[in-house]
Parts: sequence; C-alpha cells; structure tokens
Amino acid sequence: MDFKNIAWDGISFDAPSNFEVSGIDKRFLQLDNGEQPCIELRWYDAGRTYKEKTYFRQLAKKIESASGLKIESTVLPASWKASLKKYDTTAFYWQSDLATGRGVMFYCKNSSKVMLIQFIGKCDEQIDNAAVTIFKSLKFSNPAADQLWCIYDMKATVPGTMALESFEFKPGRFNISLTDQTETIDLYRFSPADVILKDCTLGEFSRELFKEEIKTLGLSRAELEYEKGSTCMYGQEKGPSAAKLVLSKFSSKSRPYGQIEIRYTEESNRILAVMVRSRRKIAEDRAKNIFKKYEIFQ
Amino acid sequence: MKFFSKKKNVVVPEMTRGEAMACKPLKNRDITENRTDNGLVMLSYPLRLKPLFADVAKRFGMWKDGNPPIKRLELDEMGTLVWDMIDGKNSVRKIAAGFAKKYQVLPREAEVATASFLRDLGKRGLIAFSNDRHRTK
Repeated sequence: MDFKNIAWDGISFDAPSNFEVSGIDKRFLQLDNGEQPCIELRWYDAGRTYKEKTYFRQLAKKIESASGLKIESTVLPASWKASLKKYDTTAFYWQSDLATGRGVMFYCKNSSKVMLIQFIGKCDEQIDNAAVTIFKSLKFSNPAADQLWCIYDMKATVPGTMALESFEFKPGRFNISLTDQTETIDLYRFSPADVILKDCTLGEFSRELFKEEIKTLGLSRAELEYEKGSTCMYGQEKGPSAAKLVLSKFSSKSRPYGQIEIRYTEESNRILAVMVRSRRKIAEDRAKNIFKKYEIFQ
Repeated sequence: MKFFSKKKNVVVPEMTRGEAMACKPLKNRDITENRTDNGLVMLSYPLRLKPLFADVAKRFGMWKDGNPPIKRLELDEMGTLVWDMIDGKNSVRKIAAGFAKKYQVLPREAEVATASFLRDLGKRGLIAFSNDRHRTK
C-alpha cells in the first residue's frame, strides 16, 4: 500500500495515498476513500493540566448535543495498542441508524495537545491499516523548530512560530496565510497555469491579483522570463511613510513592509506566489528563501 | 429546559459521493450548439421563466412567435472541454478524470470543478443526469 504525507496546522501523519482530504479547517481534517468520509482528526491545545475524564465527558456531551449520537467509552482495539503505547488513550464508539464509528482520544504531553481521531463506517482491513499507519506516523510540530505544511499538492516549511490565520482551497486557487507577531506569509498556488497565462503575462496576472497590496504597500515590479517559466518580484523602492510606521507601533496587525514573488513553471503547470508582509524591514531575499522550501509535489 | 430545545434535523444525503460521481450527464435536446471562431461552444437555450415573469415578458414583447426568449451562454476553453465530453455515456468521474489529465490539475480539484460546472448547467436546464442505480430499480 502506498502512503502520502499530510501536514496541517501543527500535525503531520501518513495516510494511504488513495485517501483524500475532503474536509479541512483549523485543527481539523477529514479524509475520504473516494466514496465517503471515513476518517476525522481534531486536535486541541489542552495545556499542562489535562484531565482525561473531564475532556472525554465534555467531548461526549458536545457530540451528543450536536448530532444526537451517544458516545460510549470502550477498550482500545488490540491492533491499535502497539502504535499508541506512548500516549494516554481513551477509546470510544458510537452508533446511529445510518453509520457506526469508533475512535480514540489521546494526549501528547510534549506538545500539550489532545488528539481525537475517529473512523466512520465499517471497520474493515483498509481502515484498520490506515488507522495503524496514522497512529505510527503522527507527529506534533515543535514551535521552536520549522513546521511542515503539506496539503493537496502544496508543500512548504516555515518557522514553527507561524500560526494559521486563514486558508482557501478552491479549484484553481489555493492560499494559506500564516502569521506571527511581526510577519505574515501568504502562500498561493494557481492552476492550470497554461490556461491562466493564455491571454496575459505573469506580470499582468500578478498585477491584477495583488492590485490592492501593490497600491497599499507601494510595491514596484521586476519581471524575469526564462525558457521554462517566468518570475515576477515586487519590492519597496522607498520605505513606508512615517505615518504607517507609527501606526504599526500601535497596531500589531499593521504590516507596512511588503514583498511579493510570483513564479510560473511550465513543468508543474502551476503558478506559485509568496507574499510577505511585516512590521519590520524585510530582507531582500526573504521571499526567495521561502521559495526554497515551498514547492509543488505530485 | 431540555424539553424546549430544538432537535437538530440530520440531513441525510440521497446518494453517496461515489454514486453522485457515477451519474452520467445528458444534453438537453432543445439546446442549439454553435462553435465560435476560436472553437469555443456557444449554447442557445429557451429561457425558463416562472409563470408570473413569463406573463410580464409576454407583455413586453419578449415572447416571439409563441416562443420564450432565447438565452446565449458562451463556454470558455475548460467549459467547452467538459461540454464536449457530455454524451450520456461518460460519468461525472470520467469527465473529471479527462479534465484533470488535460489540464494537469489534481484529480479531486478537477472533480470539484467539474461537478460544480455540471451542477450549474443542470440548474439552467441544459443537462440532466442519468443514474444507473435508480434506473434498474
């Protein structure tokens, strides 16, 4: 069985390659097997004072009020035990007229996170293998180290301090926005690039796409074309105005410095873009360095 | 207070995702299909109006020779590819796979885009969907 890596909002794990992410949110992923949703993962910050029983009771209550399902605790399936031995676990199951499900809740002391994974539907061999693979490969990211983001065909590594601010996964347009106290990084991916760039250049496309940012940040452009693609870079020739700098001292959301780089590669037929906005002056090669760890994988 | 709490209705989908993807779109025979100079499809179809609006349209002379007004829809390159694959035999899944292959997009991305486009065509009455599972019942 082939597996692929999925890394999202602080966790990473391997899943069978025929499973696709069909639901996504902050600290939530839903996977389906092409037919119907079959795996759900949720994770929460629990702090250092985690109480298993309290958490489970709250969870059961929440689900019962939302869906009417009664959650019952049960013994951990034998096949899951070995791969979950490093965690304190609580296994559970539920049953409705239409479906059944079973899952496990556990706490990771190092990251202070509670993980909830449930498997919906018939527990056949495929689901059981997927469960064991997820448990074995599951990693919680360390905020002090770089964090991997690997979702659909986007793969990027950014500093672990950057938290997910917003995201968008629409056909043809993916965007992940990450932020910390001083900087915001936006990762974009567009497809199919050959259709998008049929009647316009990368420069024209990027000018339209980042119209607002170019105006508000006062960015100017440099465009490069090469045999198998092109690149556009936007930077600030002049620094932000004194008023904007003063405002950024008062408002933590204000980001007066900006830089954008957008690339088209024929091989992947994708357009990738990185936009950096900061409260401090940005190094000239900041977007370029982010691109070193931002790629498309197929 | 529990007696007064409103119980949430659980919406049960009529078919699974897999069944929906297995549906086969069919073109409406009342549609006139033309090609533009650049090979794109231009669809002309009678506008479906609710009786009240149809009366108003008739009064304003929009109804010609007893026929409803004709609406035109020009498909873009990707829409044309999907439209050309609609033959009553290709399933939504197969059309999406053809789309993904042609434009090198992710299979799931192609499925979402194709399904959304076909749903839109269906809402306009330009296509219908046949479902083998329901036909055999």
